[in-house]
Amino acid sequence: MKKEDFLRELKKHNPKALDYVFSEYGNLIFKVAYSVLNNRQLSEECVNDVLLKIWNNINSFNRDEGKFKSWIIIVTKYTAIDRLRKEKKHDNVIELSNYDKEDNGIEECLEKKELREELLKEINKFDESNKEIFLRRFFLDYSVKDISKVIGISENAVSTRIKRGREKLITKLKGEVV
Amino acid sequence: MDKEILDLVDNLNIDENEFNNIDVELSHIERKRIQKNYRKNINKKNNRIKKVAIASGIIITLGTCGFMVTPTLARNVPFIGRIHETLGLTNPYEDYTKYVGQSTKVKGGTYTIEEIMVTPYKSLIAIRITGDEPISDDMFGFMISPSIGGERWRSGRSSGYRLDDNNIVRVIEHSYKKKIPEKADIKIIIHQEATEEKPAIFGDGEFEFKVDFSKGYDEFKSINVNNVYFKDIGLNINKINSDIIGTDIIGTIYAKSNSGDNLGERVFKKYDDLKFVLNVDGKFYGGYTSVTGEFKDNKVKGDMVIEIQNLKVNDIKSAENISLYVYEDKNPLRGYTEENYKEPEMKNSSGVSYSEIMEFRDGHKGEFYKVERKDDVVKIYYKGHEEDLAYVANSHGWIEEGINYFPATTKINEGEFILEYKDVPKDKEFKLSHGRFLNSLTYIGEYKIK
Repeated sequence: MKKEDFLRELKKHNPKALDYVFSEYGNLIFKVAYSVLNNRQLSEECVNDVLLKIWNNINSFNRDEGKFKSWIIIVTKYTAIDRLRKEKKHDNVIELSNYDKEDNGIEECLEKKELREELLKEINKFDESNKEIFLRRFFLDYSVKDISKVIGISENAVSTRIKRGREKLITKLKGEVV
Repeated sequence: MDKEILDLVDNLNIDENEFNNIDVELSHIERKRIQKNYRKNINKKNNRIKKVAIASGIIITLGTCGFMVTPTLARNVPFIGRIHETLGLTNPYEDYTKYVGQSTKVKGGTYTIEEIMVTPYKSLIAIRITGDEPISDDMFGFMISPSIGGERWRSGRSSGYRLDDNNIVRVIEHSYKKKIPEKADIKIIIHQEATEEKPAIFGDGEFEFKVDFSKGYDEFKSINVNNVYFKDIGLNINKINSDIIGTDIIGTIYAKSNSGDNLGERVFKKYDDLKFVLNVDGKFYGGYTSVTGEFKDNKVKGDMVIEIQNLKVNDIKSAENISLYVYEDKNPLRGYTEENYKEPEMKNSSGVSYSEIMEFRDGHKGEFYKVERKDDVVKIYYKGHEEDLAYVANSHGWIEEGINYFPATTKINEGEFILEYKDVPKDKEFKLSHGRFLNSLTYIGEYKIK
C-alpha cells in the first residue's frame, strides 16, 4: 500500500492502512489521551478505542488528507474525556477546581440521550465562532483560558459567550437545561 | 462516538502543538499490545486459533502463511512439497502424493484439486485457485473442508504460494479424529472467507471423487498408551499415531463437575499450563497442543492432540524407548511488564540469527551459546535449567520462504542441550524464535510408553 493512498485504503477497510495510521499517529493519540487521563494504562486503552473508532467512522471524515491529523486529535480528546467522565463517576470524584455548577448542567444534558439530540441541533445553529467555543468547552473540555489562547480573544470574552450560549439553550429547551 | 458529534466537530481544527508539553510516548511493549488488540478486533476471521476454550461445539484451527512468488508451473509438476524442491531439498512427499487434476468453475474463477495425500489420520490436499481477475495478496483465506469416507476433519493448517497473478496454490493439512478408510469417497467443499467490508470474489465449489490412498497409507504406526492419566483434569493419553507427515500424541478428556467448582475454566487453564516433551531414544521433541471439546451438563468432554511435525513414522517404528515428559507452569505471573522489557540483542553466527538469552520471570536466564552449521543441518547449543527443556524443545526456526523448522533436542549435561534442525538450505538465513520472560516450569514426571 502506498502512503499517499492510506486514506482511500482506510475507507476500503484495508487493515494495512490502519497499521499505517497507528505507526504515524500512535504517539500523538497517546499524548492527547494522556493529556486528559494522566494515566498510562487508561491512555493505552483509549488509543485502542480511538483506532477502532477511526476504523468504524472513517467514512464520516470527508475533508482532505491534511485535516486528518486534526480529526484524529478531536476523536481522541473526546474519547478520553468520555472515559474520564466514566472513571470519575465510578470513583465518585468531582474535581472542585473544575467544578462549575452551570456547566455541569449542560454536561448532564449531553449525557441524557433524549436531550442530547436537541442540544446538538441547537449548538449546530450557533455561528461558527460561538459553535467552536461551545464545542471546545463542552466536548473537548478546554478551559476558558485555553479557549482564549486558541481563538485569540480575551478570557472575559470567552466566558461571556459561553454564558450567552447557555442562556440561548435554556430558552430553546424551555428550562430543561439547568 | 455519535455520528452527530462527529459531524458537529468536522470543521474544528486542533493543532498538535497544543500537546507539546505532554512528554510521553508509547513504549515498544505498549505498541505491540495495542497492535495485537486492534488487529484482533478488525480481523477476527483471519486469526489463527492456537488453543481453544472448552465450550459447546467443536472448534477448529486453521492457519495461513504468506505467499511465495514462483514461476508458472506445468501441470505435471508436484504441488505438495514443491517448496522443498524449489529450495533444492528432497520433496518428502514425492512418493506418496496422488495426482487428481479435477476442476470446477465457480463465480470469479476455477478451483482445481491438483494433488492429494492421505495417511490413516491425516490428509494433505493441494488446490489451485485460478481467478478470472488477478488475485491480490491480501485476499482472505479459503476454508477447505474435506470429508473422506464419511470422516470429517478435526483440525487443519494451511500454507500457500503464488504461481502468477491469476493463480495461487493452497496446501492444506487436516487431521481426523477417526481412521480414514484406505479406499474412499472424498468430498471437498471450498469457501472463500469474507467480511461485510470485503465480500468474497470466489463462489463456493464442491468436489466428489473416489481415491485409493494406499500410497503413503501403509507408512503408519500406532502405539497404545495405558499409563498416562491426569485425574484433576480428566486427561487420558491414549495413543501415539505416527505417519509420513508427523506424529500425534492423542488424549481424551472427561471430567465431572461439582457445583461451583468452575470446572470448564479450570480444565482449560490447566491445559494452558501443561507442557509435554516426547523422548524418543534420547531425542526430545516438543509439539503444538490443541484442545477441542465441550462443557455441558456439568461434564467436560473432549480431545487433546499434541502434534510433533518433525517426528516421522520411521523414527517411531525403529524406536526402542519412548517416554513422555510432563511439565507444569505453576507460576500465576504471565507476560511482560514494561519495566522488564528490553529489545533482545540479536546475534548472527554462520547465517543463523538468534537472541542469545532466554529470560525467565524468576530471574534465571538461559543462553544459546554456540552455533554450528554444516551442509543442511543447524545445531544450536543451550545452557540453562533442566526444566527449560520444555521451552527449548519448542524453539522453532524459520527461513524467509516460509518453512518452519522444529528441533530434535539432545541432552549434553544437566540443563545443557543441543537443538538440531535438519533440511535447512545452507545458503538461507535461519532465524531462531524462542519465548521471552517465560514462567519457570515444574517437572511433573516421566511416563514410560515403550
